[in-house]
Amino acid sequence: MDEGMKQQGLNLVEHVGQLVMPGDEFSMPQDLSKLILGPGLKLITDRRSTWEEGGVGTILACKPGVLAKVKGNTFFVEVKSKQYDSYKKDDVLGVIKQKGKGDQYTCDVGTKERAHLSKFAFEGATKRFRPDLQVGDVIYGKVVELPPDFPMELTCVHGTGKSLGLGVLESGHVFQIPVHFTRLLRSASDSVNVLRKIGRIVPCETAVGVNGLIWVKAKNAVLTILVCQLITKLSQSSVAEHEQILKQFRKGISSLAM
Amino acid sequence: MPRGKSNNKSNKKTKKEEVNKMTKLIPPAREPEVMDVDDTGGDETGGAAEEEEEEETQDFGPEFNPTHFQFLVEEKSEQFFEGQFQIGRPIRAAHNFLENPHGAVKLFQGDTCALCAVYGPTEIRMSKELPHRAAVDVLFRPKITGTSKQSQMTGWDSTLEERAIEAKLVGILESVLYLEDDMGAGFNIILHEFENDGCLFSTCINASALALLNAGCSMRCCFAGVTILVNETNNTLIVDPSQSQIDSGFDAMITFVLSNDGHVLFSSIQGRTKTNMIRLCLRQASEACKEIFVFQKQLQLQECSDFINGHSAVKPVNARGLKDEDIKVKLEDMKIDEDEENYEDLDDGEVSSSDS
Repeated sequence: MDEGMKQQGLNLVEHVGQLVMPGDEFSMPQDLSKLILGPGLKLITDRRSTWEEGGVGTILACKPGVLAKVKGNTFFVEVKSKQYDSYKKDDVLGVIKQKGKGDQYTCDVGTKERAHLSKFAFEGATKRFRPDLQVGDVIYGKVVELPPDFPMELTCVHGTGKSLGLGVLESGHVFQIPVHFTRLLRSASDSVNVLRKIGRIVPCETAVGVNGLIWVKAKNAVLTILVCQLITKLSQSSVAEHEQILKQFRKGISSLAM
Repeated sequence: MPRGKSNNKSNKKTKKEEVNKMTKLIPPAREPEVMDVDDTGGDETGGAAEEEEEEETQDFGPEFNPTHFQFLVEEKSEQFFEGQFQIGRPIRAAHNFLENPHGAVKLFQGDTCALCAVYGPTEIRMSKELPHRAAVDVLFRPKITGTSKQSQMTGWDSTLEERAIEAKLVGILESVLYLEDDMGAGFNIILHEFENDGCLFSTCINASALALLNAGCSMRCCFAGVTILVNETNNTLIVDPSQSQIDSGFDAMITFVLSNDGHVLFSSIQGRTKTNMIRLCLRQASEACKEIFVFQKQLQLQECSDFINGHSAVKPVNARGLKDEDIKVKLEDMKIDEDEENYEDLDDGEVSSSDS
């Protein structure tokens, strides 16, 4: 038994929730309908016969982490990382870095390339009427669906023309957390989402980008900074310790008596 | 707050206990076996290797000297993940010890220590940018530059050995990383020599492998490096030798870099030896590399324990993290969970704060 060597012929469905290392091989599952491989998994096909001809392929894990499945036969590897990798339809926080003479801003999102943001991509913007952003402003935008090899582009409106929460973020505080921790803050379930629990202690407005940037705005500056420090501390500790830290925070806030 | 401090301490203790549990899971260390050369290597080479005996020495470096290893005593306050390297010297690693880099690892192999920091696919210098694939940039910094033995002997470039380590590592990493995925980007790997007690190169390889895993870079396979010392006068192989063992003389020093899927990525030999001896070294190196792969796996398991125990595959939601149904619930009434009933009294404090 070669414990350290790569695992071969694993079953995608059975392996969910277990650790995978780069080099681990999965066999093709029986149910191929709408099989989507997310980040961390790669499809390696045989060169001799193409996929349509029924060639045998394998699925290769290329990142270390835990295999996860979401609704609809979609598999990916949950990785702990500090580096953001951009995907379509991601909600991101961007900092405006350049104000071009044309109708585009240049945004820093945390990827290796700068993202473009059209000046018309705001709710109710027309040729005459468009928001005037300055260098250093923070926006909450969405990554536009574009074919590969196109430069990355952001937008602040949905397809319907409404902003629905996207747009310029004013006042408040922006800081960075590890990318994997944003999934915890953005989860829909009440028991998992830490942000809800924080909201019960200190009511605050937040915008969480999947690129690891968070914008927080509470009633006053002191509370904002305290919430930011709390989230930073939570991101550095394990899930089991969260309850304890929140309890401490609760106590500290109540003793502040503002 | 005194109370908070005590809580922190208790947390640390529980963590250490967990680590101890982890190490207990590993099967107890094997006693050094004497391999039978006759039935494996001997058949292929026609019985030439029959006389060779093998001794796996477990050497933990020179005797403990409190003045010499003063820094080690300080390091023990830090949290280390200790693996059981059953063939060579013990290994232990601390990951995420730096804030800024995407992956950072401090790795000890015996008393040899190397630090490695990795910046995942990022922007790099324009001069190094490539249009068709990502570039790999390795920087190796020794404790004192230009003092290596080779450079002193040859008298050429004083930084010869450092540049050689960098070039070798670039070659290995280019075959392992998926470089085609991010064109025009680059991987920055920064290595620091912390302490050299033999096998610095293989320690650097293992440190960079762990740091790349820590950063979550996409790789074809895991890899690990092992140095083996061949002494033909008394027919011994030493896996992962210390500096004193190297200084006492050897016939050949072989470094292998092996991958997760059983390929040899790199090998270098210093000195000369028989072919079947090299074959024997390769078999021994693959054994040692398996141990390192297990160590990498356990380190990763420890890091991803949150994903395994808790919130795997949570549903993503709309902008600002709320669903329409959730907003309705919020508007109606904020219900307090059963678990949180025990600090209801503190909720009153919150209400009073909102009034003022």
